[in-house]
Amino acid sequence: MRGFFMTAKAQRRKVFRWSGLRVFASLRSILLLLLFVFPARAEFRFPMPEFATGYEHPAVHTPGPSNAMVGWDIVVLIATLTLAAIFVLKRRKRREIFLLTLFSLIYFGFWRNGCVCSVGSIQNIMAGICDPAYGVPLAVLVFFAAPLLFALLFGRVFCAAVCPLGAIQEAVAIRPVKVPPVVEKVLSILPYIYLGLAMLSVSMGAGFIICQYDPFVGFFRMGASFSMLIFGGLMLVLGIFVARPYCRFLCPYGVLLNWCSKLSRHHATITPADCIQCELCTDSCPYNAINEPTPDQSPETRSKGAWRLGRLILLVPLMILLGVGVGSLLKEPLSRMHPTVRLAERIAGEDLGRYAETNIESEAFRASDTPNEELYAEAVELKTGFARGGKWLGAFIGLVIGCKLIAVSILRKRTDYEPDRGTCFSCGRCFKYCPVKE
Amino acid sequence: MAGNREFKQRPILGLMTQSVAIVAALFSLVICILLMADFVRIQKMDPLNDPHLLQLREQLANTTEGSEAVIKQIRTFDLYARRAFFSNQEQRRTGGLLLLGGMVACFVALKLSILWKPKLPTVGKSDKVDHWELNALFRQLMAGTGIFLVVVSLFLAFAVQSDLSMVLARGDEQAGKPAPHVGQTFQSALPEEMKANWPSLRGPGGIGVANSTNTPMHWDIESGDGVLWKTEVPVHGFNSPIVWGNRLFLTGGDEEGQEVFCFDANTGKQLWSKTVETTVELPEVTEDTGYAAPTMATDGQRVFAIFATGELAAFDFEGNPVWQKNLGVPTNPYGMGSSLISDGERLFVQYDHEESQKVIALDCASGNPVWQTPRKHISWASPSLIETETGVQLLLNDEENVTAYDPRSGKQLWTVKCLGGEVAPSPAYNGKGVVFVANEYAQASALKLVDGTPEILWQYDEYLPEISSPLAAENLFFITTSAGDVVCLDAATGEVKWEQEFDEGFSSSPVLVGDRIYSIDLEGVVHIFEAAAEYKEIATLEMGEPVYATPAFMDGRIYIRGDENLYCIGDE
Repeated sequence: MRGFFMTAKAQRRKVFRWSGLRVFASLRSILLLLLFVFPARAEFRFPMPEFATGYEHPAVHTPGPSNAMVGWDIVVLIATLTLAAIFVLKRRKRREIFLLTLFSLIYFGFWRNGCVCSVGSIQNIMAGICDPAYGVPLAVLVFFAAPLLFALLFGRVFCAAVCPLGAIQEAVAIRPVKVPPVVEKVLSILPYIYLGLAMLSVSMGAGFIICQYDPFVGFFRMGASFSMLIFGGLMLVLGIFVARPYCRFLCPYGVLLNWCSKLSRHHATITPADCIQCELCTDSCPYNAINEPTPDQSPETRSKGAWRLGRLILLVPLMILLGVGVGSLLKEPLSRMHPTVRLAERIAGEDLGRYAETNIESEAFRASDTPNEELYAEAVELKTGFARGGKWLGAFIGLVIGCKLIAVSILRKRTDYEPDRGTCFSCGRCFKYCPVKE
Repeated sequence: MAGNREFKQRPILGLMTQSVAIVAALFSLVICILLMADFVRIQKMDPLNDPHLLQLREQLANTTEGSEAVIKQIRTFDLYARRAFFSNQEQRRTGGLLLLGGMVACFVALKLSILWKPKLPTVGKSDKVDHWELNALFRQLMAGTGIFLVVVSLFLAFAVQSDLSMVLARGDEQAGKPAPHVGQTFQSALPEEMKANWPSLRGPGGIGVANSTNTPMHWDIESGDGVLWKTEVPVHGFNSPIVWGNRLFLTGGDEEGQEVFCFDANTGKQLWSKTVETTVELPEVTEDTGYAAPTMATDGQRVFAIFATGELAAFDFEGNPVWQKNLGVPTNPYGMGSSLISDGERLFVQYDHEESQKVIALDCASGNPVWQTPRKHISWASPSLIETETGVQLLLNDEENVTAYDPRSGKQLWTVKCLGGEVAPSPAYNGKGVVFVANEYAQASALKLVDGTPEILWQYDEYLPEISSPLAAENLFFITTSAGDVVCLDAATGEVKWEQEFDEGFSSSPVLVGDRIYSIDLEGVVHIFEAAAEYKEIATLEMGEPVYATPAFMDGRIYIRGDENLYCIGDE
């Protein structure tokens, strides 16, 4: 990556010059964060005592979730979404939006421990689709659908002031710098990959990885594994300079909100009236979500652009096919998402003498009555499922890359400075920069 | 925008909040470092494997007297460890709250400083990026990203290898290869050391054939003539003695406890005894099975004992515990009857009970499971290890089938449905590729192994065993019954060669010693006769007490466990 920066043409170098090093540091931080995610380990616990007297441990009872607050959660969600829409579209006050954000952080985050969470709810919905026996609770359904509905009507007001994950990042965004727009666009592929992996994980019964790797829930609940706390902490430190890194470069629910918001009936505008082209707002958005007017003069002919667009459209099926091919090769790494496959591989590895010692999972399995063959058969079946899922995932990513290439190649005429309907979080930072007040 | 309060500068307030933010940040940093140091310290803690605790545990395992004091020390140690753990939890929780408080103060101060010292908007930026250039660059970078994803995916696809696939491929290879080649991966033979000793019920491989041939044929218990030593059996049990070198092992069990005993095979002196503790409730057993019916086994370095409670324990030859585990209380109408057997590396446990049926192979040294294969029927029979031309096979009888397994992988090699009723007799093998099984209320069957798989040669259903296992000589097959009948059949055809009726029935299994057969009836009468197509008695000797166990034969001596005494028959 660094080599690329060093050899790019001078004209392009201009794009990176003002914040290239900072962005490189940010990317390095993201990579470091990812390194922390993968070795996430279980929380430290003291083992159960052993008794030689025949005393048997009482069965561990996990109390069922309390539904007492669920009704209130729905009411508060609808109310905050409504207030956010009013603050963004009518009142146009950044301070009011921010205060509502703090309320959501305290209520949905610290008070309700970050659950139910709209971001994670897509997994419940997917589980309900894959398994008809899986009942999706009404509250989860509302938390999934309401932000999308509001996004269809008013843009991403959920991200602006209701989502607790967005709120905690908004709270720490002290000195946000702009990531180069082109890097922002390239990194925007990551939420799609995460979404695809999360859906594959749910459909194969490998768990809710969005919840497992939620970087902020550990803060909301005042407890998580050390590595997850480090991940969350680093994400917040990064968020001081690169505003909302999780929302922009990871959030899988943001993909759906982006799609809905693009179709929104009403959306936040930078100016309440006609844009006077003063350019004061250009530097106000840390999310690169302000689209500038397109230049009048195009450096290439219309036919050349159309020809390129046609080629890209033809390329999309090929990219999907390439994705299917590559995805079909990912059976082994993808299947490791499933604990049963991991256990089967561990047991097989121990039988092959690859490990010097057993681990706690393999010991527990070996102490059970389950024969190895049964575990192996289940793992093989799961791997077959992951092989199928890998193809779908590859096809999805191929399609997304193709669509992104097409989207950037379609000529859209803009005469004013406008928020990008898909990526704008409706945070209201740009409002105060516009001199037009009525 | 002029006069807009949004951009009003308040430098003093801004400076103050900046200072507060710095102090709060430093405070948070200190707390953060302390929490991380605490975490590192905790990671190094291993209270369960603390040397002091391990020493106390070892002390507890080795002491019989004063163990209460050691237990008390262990409990105190455990209490302190737990108290330290929960105190630490509380400290960490407090630290977390302080960190959160510090960070909130820091961020609030920073937000206020920005509010009071807002950054003014700028116009006319010189580094404004060309729209078309940006789009072109994006297309190139996105294409690069796609290529990068493909490369990473290919790397992952080839870097992540599957151990499971290797294990399954190995299993398929073993199953798919024709029998003569299977021997390359199968265990070819039992270790010679095992054959030179008496490591399990019915000797090496558990097939009732002794390697020693110069065993006594005449002795007198009353006068002591020919009796090397006699010693009292400390605790009752129906299991048989096993012998390795100059050590003899057996177990005893009752409602009071379960014990393992080691005797000097030369003198009969008890060298040590160990109680096998259990935490489970004693199961109901019948009088003729008891709590210690299964015979022990040894791999030459350790001895293994299992009891009616499902408690399985390993000791070294000095009596030091090596490992112990409970396999789950067996549920069956009589009690645990199946004995143990080892091939020198693995210990095999036939665990066919009402609720679950399985055969388990455990690593002798660690007790860790090597494999476990589910089965379908209940059984009281004991496993045998036979050396076939395709390798060693583990044979198991149950109430319907005789089944062979690969001792290394647990993979089922073949099964034949030819048994019935409540099966206690174990399989017999003539060393020439013919397996024999028999049980009362079913029939006796001879199974010829062709390329490792069986064909039924013949079946016989007149005199059948109930408890005593049948015996195979090279060309003959012998059955001893609970009614006192002894039958000799032709191994190849099943033709009855002779029948002999005795006064008492047999529980002990007959043993082939050279060209002679030793069989002891329930009254303790030892019948010695030729292993020949015609019945020829060699001797009939009385032990003077009931005998239920199968004797052990080694180095010209016979070790017989009577109901009350243990005998060594032989010369110096």
